[in-house]
Amino acid sequence: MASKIQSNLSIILILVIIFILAVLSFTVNNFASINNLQNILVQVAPIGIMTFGITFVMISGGIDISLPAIMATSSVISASFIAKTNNILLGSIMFLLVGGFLGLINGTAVAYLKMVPLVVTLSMMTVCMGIATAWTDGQSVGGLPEDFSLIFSGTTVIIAFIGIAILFGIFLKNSEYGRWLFYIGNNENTAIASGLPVKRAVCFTYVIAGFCAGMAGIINTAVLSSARASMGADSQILDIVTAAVIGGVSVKGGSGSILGAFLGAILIIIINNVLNLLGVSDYYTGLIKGLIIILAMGIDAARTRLFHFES
Amino acid sequence: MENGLTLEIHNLKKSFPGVQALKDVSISARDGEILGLIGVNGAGKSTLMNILGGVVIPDSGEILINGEIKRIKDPATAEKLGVAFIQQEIQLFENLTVQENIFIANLKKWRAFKNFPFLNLKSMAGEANNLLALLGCDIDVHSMVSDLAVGEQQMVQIARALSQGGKILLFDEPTSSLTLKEKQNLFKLIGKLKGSNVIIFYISHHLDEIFEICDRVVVLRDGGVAGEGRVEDISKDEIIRFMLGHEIEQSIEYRKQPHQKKVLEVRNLCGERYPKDVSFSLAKGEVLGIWGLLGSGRTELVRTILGLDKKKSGEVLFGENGELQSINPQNLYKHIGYLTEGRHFDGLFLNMPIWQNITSVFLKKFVTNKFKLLNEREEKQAAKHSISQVNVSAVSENMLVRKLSGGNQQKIAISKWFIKKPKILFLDEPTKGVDVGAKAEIQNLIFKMASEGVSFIIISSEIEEIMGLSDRIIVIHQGELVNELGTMQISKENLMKSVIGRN
Amino acid sequence: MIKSKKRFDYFSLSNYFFFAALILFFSLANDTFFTSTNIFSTLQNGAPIILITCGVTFALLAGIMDLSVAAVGYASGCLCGILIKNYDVSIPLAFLGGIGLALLIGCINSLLIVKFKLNMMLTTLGMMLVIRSIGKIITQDRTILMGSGISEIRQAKIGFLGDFPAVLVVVVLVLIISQIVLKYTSFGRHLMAVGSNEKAAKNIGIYPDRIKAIALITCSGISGIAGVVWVITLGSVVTRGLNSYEFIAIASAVLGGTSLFGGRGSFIPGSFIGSIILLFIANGLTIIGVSPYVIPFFRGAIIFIAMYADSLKTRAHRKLATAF
Repeated sequence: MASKIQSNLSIILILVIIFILAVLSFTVNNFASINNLQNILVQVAPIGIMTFGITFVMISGGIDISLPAIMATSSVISASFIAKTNNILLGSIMFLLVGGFLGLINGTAVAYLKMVPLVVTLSMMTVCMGIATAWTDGQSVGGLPEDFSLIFSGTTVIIAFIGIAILFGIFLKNSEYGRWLFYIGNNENTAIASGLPVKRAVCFTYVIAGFCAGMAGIINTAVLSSARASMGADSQILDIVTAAVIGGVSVKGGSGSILGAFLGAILIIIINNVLNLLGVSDYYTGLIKGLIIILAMGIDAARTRLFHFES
Repeated sequence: MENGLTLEIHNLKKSFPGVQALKDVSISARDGEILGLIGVNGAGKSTLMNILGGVVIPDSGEILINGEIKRIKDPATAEKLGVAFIQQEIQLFENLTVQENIFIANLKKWRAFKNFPFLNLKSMAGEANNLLALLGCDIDVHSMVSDLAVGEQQMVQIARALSQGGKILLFDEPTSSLTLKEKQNLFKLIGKLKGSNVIIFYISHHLDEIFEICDRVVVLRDGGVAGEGRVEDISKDEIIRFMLGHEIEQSIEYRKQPHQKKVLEVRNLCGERYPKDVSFSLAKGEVLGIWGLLGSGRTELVRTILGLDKKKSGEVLFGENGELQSINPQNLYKHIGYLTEGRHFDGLFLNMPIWQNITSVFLKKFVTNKFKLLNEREEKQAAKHSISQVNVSAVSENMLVRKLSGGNQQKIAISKWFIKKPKILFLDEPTKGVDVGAKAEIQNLIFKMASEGVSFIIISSEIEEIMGLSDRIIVIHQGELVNELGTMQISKENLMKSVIGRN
Repeated sequence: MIKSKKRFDYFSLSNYFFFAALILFFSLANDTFFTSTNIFSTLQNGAPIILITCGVTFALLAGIMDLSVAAVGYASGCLCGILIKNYDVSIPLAFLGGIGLALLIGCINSLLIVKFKLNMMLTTLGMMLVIRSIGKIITQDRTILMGSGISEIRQAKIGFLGDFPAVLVVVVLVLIISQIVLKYTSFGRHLMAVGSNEKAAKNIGIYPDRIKAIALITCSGISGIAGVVWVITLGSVVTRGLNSYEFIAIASAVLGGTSLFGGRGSFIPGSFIGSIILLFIANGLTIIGVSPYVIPFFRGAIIFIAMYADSLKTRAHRKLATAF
């Protein structure tokens, strides 16, 4: 039973995270301080929210590697707007609108033009980086009003992150739309024959992902008090996908959960932090991250094969 | 003592889950013989060919080639033994040339020099041309297979079979997509191949073809050999009788009230390939059977009506109370249910539990919460109810569909539409791969619902089933509606005659 | 013998037209475009990408998308550079060392993707990370300036061909050999068969796994050659070498008619034309003074159209949302 496996997985993840945190609190000074834990959660938030977005996409069988790039683009555009007009409300909405719009383009190409998701989101990623770089001329966008960072401060971010996680979780598991995604990812042909609005549903997953990228943009911009084209570093997308897969998403589609994504993101960031603390240089970080993804793929393949052997 | 190729099939048995495809088949074939194989759908022809071709392994029985027992465990072995299975589905590689396709399995043979890996295309072309000339075929060996017409592609398939030293050739419904001229070429070719240390099996529904080119004909029925004989000694009627069995023709009871209100009307429907200008109507509470050979376009007809395949022209009208209005597929879908032909392919969500499968077609019903959330408890209740309705017992609604037996899977695939209370149910092969008990249950279910006013459109390849269920039957052949049988006209003979002996 | 009517391949015809139009446009727009200096230097600087495209085409023909190709080139180049600079290895030996590393990586890729059947996209993405890191570790992330030996090779020209850069001979050779292998050896034909219809190939007695493995190893091997060429043409090993080249390479292949779904494509003209189209667009736009920021847009737009055309062409029943 998929849901049972999913819940078991989540429990394992929670235990692993607690274990690592426990070890760290003993070995590193001040690790278990509220401040530090808060910091970690704030770090997790943008990656975590984008992981939520990619979870929606991947459950229905797709992939979206443009999320960090969409995040950067919506950030630089909206940040410039806020810097110029001082309108924080409108500016914040702009993050979401730009993200959602770019996501809509992705979704339309995949669902209605029947193009391959990897290719579409890859092109989007390239185009977004181009837009972001051109918009900012390579500089960072500053001059944001202080209020912006104050409103989206650490505590707000954490509360929002958890709140979004809960909302998305309920949406995915208990709404008609969420269930549709599982059907589509499980067997797209059956979903079509059952009369489900497959094209619309798939397109919308990319819009959701785009929104999530926008939200992540708000957080990142507020924390740094600036936005730059290089915000969406290459490594982020790998973090996001790995987090989703660790959390129970299968690349083939049909499985995944928000709780799993949440825990997966936390685990990834903690691993990042550990590597940092251990003074592991950048190159080895890349190596380890790459190995983690391959390992995650191996686990996914083993999971799928285990599933199919029980017949 | 004849010194030639012999093939003996002794007591082959094969069963699949829920179905005994071959009960006990024994056939012998002599050198130079063209053996026709005929039988209704499900009689066992395909299974027999698949066994010879190494695609399927028999449960028991033996195959002897030239007196030696051979175990044909996979297609590659079959080829080594000289069996060439020329399937209905083209097995060529589109982006390779004709000669490359012909010799693809054994390309190393064509190296220019012993250890030099480059192919000698010129000598390949020479041999390819020889083969094609043997077949009376004129194709440019350097052209891409994707550029050829279907008939020409089939010639290439045959050439490939011959190049691999095919001695036992299995032709599976070879003429189904050929033009008249291509058919004649094929017959000429088969005539040429005859008598040259070759045994040919020729499967077809077309009695005329069998009489034209075969020496002997074997009739399969229900997984066994129902009769056989030399073509000059046997008559068409005898063959039909062998195919249908000696049961006395039962008169159909006039069991339903005359249908008045039309529920569905299809006008001049044309799809991309099939259907071709099909028109018919369906009344409330009526069971309409769609009859025809495999590949005749029945499934395409249904899929085009439902908008799953592209429609080129034509209209579909629907009305709950006799007032028909033109309707688009998305709206039509709200009122109908559709059981697809391949439940594993697009009929079920195999890795999901039963209850999620059942509620998938009508999730809206379970969004009763004020927050618009799904009520899982109600879903599971409804699923439990459906399960009991179709007599799938001793399973929990939480069980993964993958773990159910074939018959139970089929019942779930049908019953999931019931919660939608559809006005029309489209069923494509509703009892395929289902055991006898479940078959009867499904058929009774159909009767019950029809008497409650649900209309049915049923595609079936089993003659007894379609006769037993339908009030009316339309016959589809090559995408066109070629015959319509009203209640009084439904009989095995009429049905068989509608599809065999056709050109 | 009747010549059967060939369905007109609009796609590759339009490719040629497009290329010709491109050359025409830029030649007219600026005098320096259509000079042997410019063309040769663009080709020489673009040699790595042409080679990587060639490599990735092998994988694509077999139906595999290998995203680690550029990273393989990078790592090979790094190893080669370090061997020459720090270990005083002779230049030819260092080249072999780099290519050897590439082949090794190809074997690992085969193991993961063909034998263990891991998801090819994300696994090669992961390998890309790992291999890039290995490259950085080898060079300690420092730029390595190659000495005179390398610059001599870079500057070598073939006089009677109008100062044709010697390095390009490698590119030409690799492309020609690849095309010959594809069209005239049984491996090449089996490769197309496997990419086209793996199931039918298996039924005929061709071993798809073997073919795919060889294709992957060849792909990495050629990427290794690309890395070596990169070191030569750049004259040094830099950290962000060949960054994102894997995507440009795949796009070039598709532009040249290679299908993402396997079984269709060629090296010459296909991938060659595809890669030089993108090269000369970037070159031409720069020459006529277009801002460097805009170039990715043009590239992106063309790639998008090419990918769309590819998806239209593929008649296979693909699912909508298959991530691939």
